[in-house]
Amino acid sequence: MAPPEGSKRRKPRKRSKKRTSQSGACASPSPGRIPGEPLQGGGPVSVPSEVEVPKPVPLVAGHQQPNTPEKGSPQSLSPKKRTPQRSALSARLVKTGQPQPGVCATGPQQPETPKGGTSNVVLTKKSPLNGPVSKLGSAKADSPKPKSPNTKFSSPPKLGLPPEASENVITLEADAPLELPPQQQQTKVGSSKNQQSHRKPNSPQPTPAQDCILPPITTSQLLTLETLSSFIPVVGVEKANSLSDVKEQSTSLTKGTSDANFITLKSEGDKGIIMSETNKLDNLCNLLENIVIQHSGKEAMSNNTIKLPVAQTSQTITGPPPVKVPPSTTDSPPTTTSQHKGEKTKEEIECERKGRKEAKKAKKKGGEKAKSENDKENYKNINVENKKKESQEEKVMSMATNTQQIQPGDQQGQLQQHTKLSVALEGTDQSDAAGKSKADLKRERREKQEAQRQAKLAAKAKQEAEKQQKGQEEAHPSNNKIRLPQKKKKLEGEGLRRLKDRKSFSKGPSDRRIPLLGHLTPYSSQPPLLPVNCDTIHPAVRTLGLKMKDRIVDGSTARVVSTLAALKQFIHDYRTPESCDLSRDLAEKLLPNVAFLNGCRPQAIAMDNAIRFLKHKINSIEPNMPEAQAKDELRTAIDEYVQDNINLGSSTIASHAAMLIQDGDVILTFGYSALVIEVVEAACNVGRRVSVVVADTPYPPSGAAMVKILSALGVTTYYRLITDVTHIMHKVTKVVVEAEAVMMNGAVQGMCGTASLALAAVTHDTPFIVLCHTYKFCNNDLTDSLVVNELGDADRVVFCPSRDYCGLLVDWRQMQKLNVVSLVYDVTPACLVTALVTEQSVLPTSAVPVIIRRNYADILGQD
Amino acid sequence: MAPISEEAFIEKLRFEKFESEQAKAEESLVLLEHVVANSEWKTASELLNLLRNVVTAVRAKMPWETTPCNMVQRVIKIVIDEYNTCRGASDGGGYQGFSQMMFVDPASGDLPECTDVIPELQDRILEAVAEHKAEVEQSQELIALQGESKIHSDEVIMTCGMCPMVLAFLTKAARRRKFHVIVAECAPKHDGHPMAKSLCSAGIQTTLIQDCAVFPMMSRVNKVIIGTQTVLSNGGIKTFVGAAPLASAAKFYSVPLYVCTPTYKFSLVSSEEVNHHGSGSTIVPQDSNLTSSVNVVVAKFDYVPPENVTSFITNNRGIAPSYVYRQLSELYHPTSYDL
Repeated sequence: MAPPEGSKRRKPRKRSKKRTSQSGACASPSPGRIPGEPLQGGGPVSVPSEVEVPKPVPLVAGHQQPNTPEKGSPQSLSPKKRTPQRSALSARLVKTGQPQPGVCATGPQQPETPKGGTSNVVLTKKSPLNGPVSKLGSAKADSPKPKSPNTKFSSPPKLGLPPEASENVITLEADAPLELPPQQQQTKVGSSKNQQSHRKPNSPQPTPAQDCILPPITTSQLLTLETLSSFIPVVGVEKANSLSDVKEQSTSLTKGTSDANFITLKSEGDKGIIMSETNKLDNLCNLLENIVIQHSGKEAMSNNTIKLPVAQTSQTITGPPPVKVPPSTTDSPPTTTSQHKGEKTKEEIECERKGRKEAKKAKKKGGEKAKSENDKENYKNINVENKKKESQEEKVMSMATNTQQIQPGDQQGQLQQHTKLSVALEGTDQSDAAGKSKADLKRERREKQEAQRQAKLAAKAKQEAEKQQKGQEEAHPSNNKIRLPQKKKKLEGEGLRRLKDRKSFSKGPSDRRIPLLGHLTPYSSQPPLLPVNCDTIHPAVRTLGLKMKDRIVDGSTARVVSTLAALKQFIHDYRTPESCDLSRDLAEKLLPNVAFLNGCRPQAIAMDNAIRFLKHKINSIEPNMPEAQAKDELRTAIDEYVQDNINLGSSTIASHAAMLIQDGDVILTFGYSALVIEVVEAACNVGRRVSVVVADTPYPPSGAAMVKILSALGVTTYYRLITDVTHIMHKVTKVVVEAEAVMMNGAVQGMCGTASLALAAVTHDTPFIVLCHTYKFCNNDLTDSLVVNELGDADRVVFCPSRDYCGLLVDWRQMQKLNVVSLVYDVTPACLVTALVTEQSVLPTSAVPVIIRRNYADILGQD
Repeated sequence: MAPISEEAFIEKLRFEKFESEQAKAEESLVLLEHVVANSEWKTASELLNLLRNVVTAVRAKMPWETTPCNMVQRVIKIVIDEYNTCRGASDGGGYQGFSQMMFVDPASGDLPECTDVIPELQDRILEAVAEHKAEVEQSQELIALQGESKIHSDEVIMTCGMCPMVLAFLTKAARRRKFHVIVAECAPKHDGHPMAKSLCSAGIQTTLIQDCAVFPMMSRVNKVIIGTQTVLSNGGIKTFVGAAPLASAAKFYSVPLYVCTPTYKFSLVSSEEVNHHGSGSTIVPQDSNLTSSVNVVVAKFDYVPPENVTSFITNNRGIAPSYVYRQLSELYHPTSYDL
C-alpha cells in the first residue's frame, strides 16, 4: 500500500468507523487487510472480502463510469438487453439468496464468529445491524423489512433522488448503485448483502424483482477492474438513446483516451476469461478460472465456509470478487447456485459483451471523430463565453485535431502497457495463491517485487503460467479473491508514488539546471509520466494538460477558462466515497489533477488563483450537504466565476479602456491579446480612429495573428520587432498591454517583452496602460522577473527564423558551458505602469492591495 | 592585400561582403594607400581633393557606412599634418590644430590650401598611412588586453549580437577570470547564436537568451559590453537593432554599459543621420501571410544616446561619451568635419 494513500485515508477511516463498520473497513485498506487475512481460515471470509472492497475503488474511481451510470443506464438500456440482464440478475438473486441463509446467520452469529474476527470483523458485522449512524446504517437498521431497506438504500438523500424513486423500487435500485462512485457501490454492495443477510432470516425468499436486481448490478460492478468495463455496454447503448448523453459519454470515452482503452482492455480480459479466447491473456485467465474452480471445490468440501460461492462468483467474474460473502455453515447450496450463476451471468455477460462491442466499434470508427468533435465542443464550451476570440478558437481547433492525431499513439502505448500489466497482475495473483499458510508473507513479498517485475513482464507471464499450475493444486481461492483487488490497489499506490517521484526528479537528471535560473523548473518536452493504470487524473484534465503543454491552450485567460472547464468536468464525474465527506475527499482528489496540470506546464498565477478559488469553494461546503447539491453548487460557482470575472470582466475592461483612447491615437501593443483586440474594437465602435503598432518577438510570433485580426477590423496596423520599437515610439501615443498577473506591489507580470515596452514608453513619456482582470491579482510581491518565471522551449530559440544561424546551436545540450533560455514572463516594475484598467475601474498600481483585500482576501489568504 | 579599385570597393561595401568593420577599415586604408601612391597629384591640395572624392562616392551610395569615410578623413588629417611638417610651419600639435581650427570655417567645406610642391611628401604620407594601418590592425588586440582590468571574477556580463571586438575582449579576459556571459540573440540577424557558440568554445559559461528577455535578465547582470558600428560625434552610438532597449534596460538597472570600439569607428556623423530602414521581410514570421496593408519595417541600426553609455573601451584608453569630441579633434582635421 502506498503510504500516501494510507495516510490520506486514515482520517476518513476513523470517521467511517463511527458510521458503519463496512465503510470503516473500506476506508482503512492497509490496516484492514493484514488483520483480515488470517481470518480467512475462520468463518468470517466476509471480512477480508470487505476489506478488499475499497481497494478497487481508486481504480474504479475513474471518471468513466460516473458519466455512464448517471445517465441512468438502466433506463437507456434497450428492453432486449434489459431482460437478459434481469434474468441474470434474478439468477444471481437466487444465488445470493441461497448463501444468504447462511449469511443471515452471520449477523446473528456474530458472537460465534468473533473468534476469527478481529475487532474489524466484529465491527463490520455489528455495524450494519447496530450502527445506524450513517444513512446506510440506518437503512440497514431498518433492513428487517425487506422492502424498506431497499427503498431507503436506493434513495439515499445524498443522491438527491426524487421521492418517486422510492416507489419504483426496481429503477431506483438500478439507479442508485450506478450513480454511486465505485467505492460507494462496493460498500453498498456489501451493505446490501448485509441487508439481505439480515433480511433473509426474516424473509429467506425476497421478492426476486426487488432484491434480485440489486445484487446483480452491484456484483457486476464489483468486478473491480471490470467495473469499468461493465459500464461500457451501457455507454454504447446509451449513445443511441439521448443526444446530450452521447456527448458526455463520448467525452468520457474519448477524452479519457487512455482510460477508455484501459477499460476496453479489461472488458476484453473479462470476455476472454469467460469465453476462453485464444490469446495469452485469456489463457492465463482460464488457468485462473480453473484454479479457482478447483480450489473452491476443495474448500467448499473442507471448510464448510462460504468460500465456495465466493470462488464461483470469482470464476464468473474473473477473480476479483470483493463481494462480501458472509461466512455461513451452509454446504450444499453453493455448487448448484454457482452453476446457476454461471449460466445466468453468461447471459448477462453476453449483454455486456454486446454493449462493449458497440462501444468498441464506436470508439474505433467514430473514436477519432468523436474525439475531435469532443475537443472542439469542449473548446467551444470554453470559448462560447469568449465569443469574440473566434480566431483563437479556430487556431485552437485546428491544433486540437493535430493533438488528436498524436494521442492515439500514446493510447496504444498505454494500452499495451495495460495489457502487459494486467497479464502480470493476474499472473502474480495466481502465483500468490500458491502460498498456502504463509500466504500473507508471500503476498507481501510479491507485492514488493511486483514493481520490479513490471519491467520483465513478458518473461514473467511465462513464469506465472507455470506457477499457476502449481497453484492449481495448492492455492487458496479465497486468497485469490482477496488478493486481486489488493494488488490492484497496491499497484495504484505504487503508481501514485511513482508519479510523485517522477514529478520530483524526472525533470532533474536529464535537463541540467541553468546557472542563474536554477530555481526554475527546466522545460521538458515530455508531459509528466503517469503510472499505467493511474486513474487519479481525470481525462479532461489530462487532455487539457497536454494541450497546455503543446501551447494549444495558451494565454492566462484561456488557460484559466479551460482549467475550470476541465475541473468542472472532474467535479461532475466525482463521486464521494462512502467513508469520506465530499469537501475533504474532493480536495484530495483534486490535488493530483492540479499537480498534473502543473507538471505539464507550470501554473500561471491566474490559474493558481482560480484553483485556489475552487478549493476555497470546496472547503466551504457543509459536510452534511448532499453530494448532488454540493456538486451543483460547485459547478455553478465555477460558471459564475468564469462569467463574472472573465466574460463580463473583459467587456467592462474594454469599455473602460476605450474611454482612455482618443481619436487618432496610435496604440502600441505586444503580441497577441484578445483583450486588447476587444479594447480596439470598443474604441472603434465609439468612433475613435486608432492605429495599432504590434510589437512581436521572433518566437512565439503571436503578433502576426494579432495584426491579421486588427487589419481585418480595418485598423491601420504596423508590425514591428520588440527590439525595434524605439524607432516608432515617437509616433505612439499610448501603450496598451494585457497583464498575465498583477502583484500586490503593483508589479505587472506579462509576457516576456512587456517590460521593455514599458521602458520604451517611459523613456518617450508615453502612457503605459495595463489591462488586467482583478482575478489575476496576486497576493505576492515581486521586484524582479526571475524569482517567479517559467522556462519555455529553448529549442524554439535555437531554431530561429534566421537563415544563417537557424539550428546553429542545435547540440547545445551537449555543450557543457552553453545554455539556451527562453523566459516566458517578465515583471514590469510598478513605477513604469501609468494605469491599471480593471473591470472595477481604472486604478493606479497602488490600489492593487486594496482590491485584493476587498475582494479576494478569503481566496488568496488561504494556502 | 591587393589594392582594389574604388568602384570595386564601393560594390563590395554595397553588398556587405566585408566580414567586419575592421576589414572595412583595413581595406579602405589599402585603397587610400593606392590612391596616394598611384594617382597623379603634385600638390597636397590635389591629393586632398582626390581623397574627398572617395568620401563623396561612398556617401552617395551608402550614407550609413562611416568607417571608410572615417579612414579617408583620417588620411586627410595625415596629409595635412605631413604637409605642415614638411613646410616646417608647424609640427601639427594638438593645440596648433586647435588654433588652426579657429581660423578655418568648417562650414565652408573647404580643405586648407596646400599648394606647395613637396617631393618627399608622398613617401612621408605613405609611411604615416602604413603606421596608421598598423594601428588599426592592432586595435582589436589592444582592446582585448584591457579585458582583465574591466572584468572581475564571477561577474555576469551581458552582450548582444556578434561583435569580434567584444568576442576578443571576453575571450582574452576569460584566460584570467571566470565569468558568465549572457548573449541576447539580436533579432532579426540572430547573430547572437554564433557569438554564443564562439564564447562557449572559448570556455566561457554562456547563456543565450531572447531579446525580449534582456530586461528580466538585466537584474542579474553586472556589466553590459557591446560592440558598435559607429561612435557618433555626440558620444552616442549607432549600432545593431536591439541595443537601444538593451541600453535603456541597463540604465534602468544602473548597470554600466561598455562599448568596445577601436578609434577608427569614431565618426564625425551626428545623431540625426542614424535612421535607415531595412527590409521588413526578414522579420515577418514565415507562415503568416501578412497582408500588404500592414506596415512591416525593421530598422538597420539603433541609436543609443550618450547618457546610456558608460564608457568606450578603445585601443588607446577608456573614453567617456562626453569626451568623444576631444578624441575626434585629435583624429580628424577640423576642415574635414563637414566633407
